[in-house]
Amino acid sequence: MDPEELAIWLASLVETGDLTSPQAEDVLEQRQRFDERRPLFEREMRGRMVGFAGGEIFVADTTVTLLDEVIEQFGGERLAYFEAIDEETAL
Amino acid sequence: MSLGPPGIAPRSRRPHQNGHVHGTRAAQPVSQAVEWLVDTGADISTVRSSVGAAFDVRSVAIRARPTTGGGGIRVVTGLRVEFSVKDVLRRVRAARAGGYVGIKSGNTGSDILGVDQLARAAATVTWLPATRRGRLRG
Repeated sequence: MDPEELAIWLASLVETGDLTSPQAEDVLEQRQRFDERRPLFEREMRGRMVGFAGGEIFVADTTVTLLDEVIEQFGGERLAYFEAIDEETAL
Repeated sequence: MSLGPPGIAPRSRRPHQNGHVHGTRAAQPVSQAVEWLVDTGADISTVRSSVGAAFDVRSVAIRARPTTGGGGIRVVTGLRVEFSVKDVLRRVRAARAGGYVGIKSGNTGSDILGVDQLARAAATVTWLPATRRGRLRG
């Protein structure tokens, strides 16, 4: 899902009421931050979960740990954008 | 409880089991029947878009595969997944587990029972690909 595809999907989620416009814009901004550092992540963080929320980077071994940290930091007010680095399994 | 190939593909060697997803819609309880693919390589359970659309949920994150054409999931709270386990006395019981659940960007593929919900239910997975038989114990 390249940035353009992500934007289209997020727009569809706004249309269905699953996200607000500010949430979708926030996620796209976090994806942009991620893309700017992607080469570093792919070099240094293989096998880990890496994400951004509220402009801050989060790194964890599991999805649950990463999202728990995001919620602890932002109280559920900010959405995270994250990826599994070099993940082998299919979504 | 028994694991086996999916109903649509009896020669498949991947473990499946029928189950449900529970949640609410307009403050009323709602359930959806699913056929789980039990996937110990998946961090969290993830359902297809059409299943997730039946519920009111709270979004907490977006995850995507970075390549063009790759899939995405919206991670939410507010869903509970249900599957069956057999206890030490060989009694079958329904196990329900919440936590973070993913909703796919599309309807392709399977509804996936991942390790977080298996762990929450203290379930163990036994699967013999050669015979296409297995169990969830809990």
